Amino acid sequence: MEVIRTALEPKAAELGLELSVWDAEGQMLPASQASNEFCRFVCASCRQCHSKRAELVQYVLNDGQPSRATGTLGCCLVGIPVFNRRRLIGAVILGYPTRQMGDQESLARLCHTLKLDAQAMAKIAEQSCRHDAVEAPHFLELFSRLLIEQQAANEADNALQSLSTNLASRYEELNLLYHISGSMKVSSQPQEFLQDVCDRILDVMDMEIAAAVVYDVRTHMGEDIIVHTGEDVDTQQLRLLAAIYIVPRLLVPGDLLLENAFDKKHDLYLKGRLDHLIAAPLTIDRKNIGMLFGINKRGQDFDSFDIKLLSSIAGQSSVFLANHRMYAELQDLLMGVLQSLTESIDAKDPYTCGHSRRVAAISKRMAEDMGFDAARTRQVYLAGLLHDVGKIGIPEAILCKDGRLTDDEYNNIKRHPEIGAKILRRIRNLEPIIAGVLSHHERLDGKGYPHGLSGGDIPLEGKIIGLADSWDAMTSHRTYRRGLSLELAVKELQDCAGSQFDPRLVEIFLSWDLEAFTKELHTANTNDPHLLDEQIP
Amino acid sequence: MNEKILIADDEPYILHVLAIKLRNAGYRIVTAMDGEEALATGLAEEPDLIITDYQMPRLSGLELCREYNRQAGRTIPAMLITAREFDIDLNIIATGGIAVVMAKPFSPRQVVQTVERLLNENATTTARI
Repeated sequence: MEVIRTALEPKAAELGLELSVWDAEGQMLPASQASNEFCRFVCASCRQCHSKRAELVQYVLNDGQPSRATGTLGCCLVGIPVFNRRRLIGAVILGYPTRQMGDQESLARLCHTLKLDAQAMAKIAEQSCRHDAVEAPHFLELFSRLLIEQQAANEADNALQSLSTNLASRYEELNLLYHISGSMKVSSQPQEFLQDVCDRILDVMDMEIAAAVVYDVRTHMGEDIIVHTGEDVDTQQLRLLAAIYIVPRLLVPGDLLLENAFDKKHDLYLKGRLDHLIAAPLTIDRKNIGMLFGINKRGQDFDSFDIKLLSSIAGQSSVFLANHRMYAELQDLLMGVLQSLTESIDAKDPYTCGHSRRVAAISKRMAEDMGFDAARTRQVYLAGLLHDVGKIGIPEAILCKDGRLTDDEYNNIKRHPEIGAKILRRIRNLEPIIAGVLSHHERLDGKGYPHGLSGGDIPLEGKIIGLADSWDAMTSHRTYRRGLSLELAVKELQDCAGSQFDPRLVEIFLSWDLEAFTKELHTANTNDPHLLDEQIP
Repeated sequence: MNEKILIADDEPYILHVLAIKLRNAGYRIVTAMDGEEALATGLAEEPDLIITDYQMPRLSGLELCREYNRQAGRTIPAMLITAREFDIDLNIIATGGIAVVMAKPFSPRQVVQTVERLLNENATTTARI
């Protein structure tokens, strides 16, 4: 009714009509100051006007039809019922003083009764009393139509508001789903992915806390993942809630959890702060591996919109987790194969036990110091690990020969970078490391092999591995000789900087604490996870 | 003559979305924004099927269907579309002749298909979609 008054009041005032708005109980809504000046004076002193209008309102509300009446002082009253979708919601009354009331004679009588200044009122009446009683049916017709139009406009307005609000929410949800699909890169870590998911659902679903738990016993991906966002809460409490309360309720695939009146006897969780709980399982191969859950929707209950959205996001997240696990398993498999390959080279040439691993470790550190990004550093590491893989193709008699090699034998050995590159070409993922393997025996002065490249033509990876290879060969003990002392090896590097080695790399290398580093290299366990737990490029 | 469908929901957007979709499918549509209005509209318009929200002012969707069937003296197929689908007991819902319960947000296309099905066969059991 308030909306109706706001819409009709200016129109009534324009016509010099006094508008009052009444609810379905027949109570008048608080009125603003009368717009008709005459009414303002007269009504202020005349109590009967209000009761006359109330009477008309009762009549209109009972009847559901428009009606007219005459006020005690002769003013005209028009009452129109107001409907909203078939239901009577109130009435409006229009009143106006007629021109007859402004006649000298009636006005004088009126002023006498109400103890008003007749002369002053005469002037006001001239301006305010603009209509005759016979016009009342026209006003009734006019305002009935206005009301119908106004009601239609209001309804359209409400519908538009409802549609827009709903559209905005659905857009928000759609955008969330798009975002999550878009961020499902296998290279991102589950922890980060789930954190992002939690951050986003917290916002879109307007909850106090969003959280995700993934159990390692179900995934074997390393360790339990538990992430949450929103209001400050103890992670341990969420872990408890998940393990004791949610897990048993999400046993069968397809189970969802939605509780809007969380039983207070469970107030051991979150110190009784828990009112609403919503949860959907994360699954791999139709087995539950954890869950996504939300706590306390702000200002209202969780509904089917929320559970549908959450379960859809949990489904997407599950796909990500499954892909990630498969990716991780492939990584493990490939790394395992590469390590076996490396170990089989080292086994073939027993004098060089652990050599590949040490070259890989030195190369990795060099790459880091050169400012390579993580991906390129990994490539250098792997290239270091596999730099001698081509030795598989060299007869053992040559590789293990004591004493001087003939030219033929030496030429045979020189084939190992190319054989290595050929072997690695079979593994598509290892494409980026081939250049490093192929060029690790090139020299800056062009006297290296297999291609006799010089200076800038040699890939940086090859230079790095070449230096690491030489260093490890010089400093490692062999059965037939002791390794060079650090001082001699350093001198050798310095002497060969510019001819065999890139001086920039030598400088970086010599800036390290070589004694400690070399010692660490030679004592490190072959299975040292920091050195070997690397991802493929 | 095309079948007439009564849609009751206190959210105007639901009325609009369903009305447009079902009108385009060839049905005649009447709408109401609460249970009481829906009952009055239903008794006056004699629809062939009711689509109703569960929670509405004045009269719930279930009460609407029960009352309509009682006062009209006949049972017409009905489907419930609700945001509290998880709270719905199918056994109780069946007493209103409601054959289908659908959770919001729904697929308008699926609603049209369900309406077609309900009008073609006289469903005897109540199911969730």
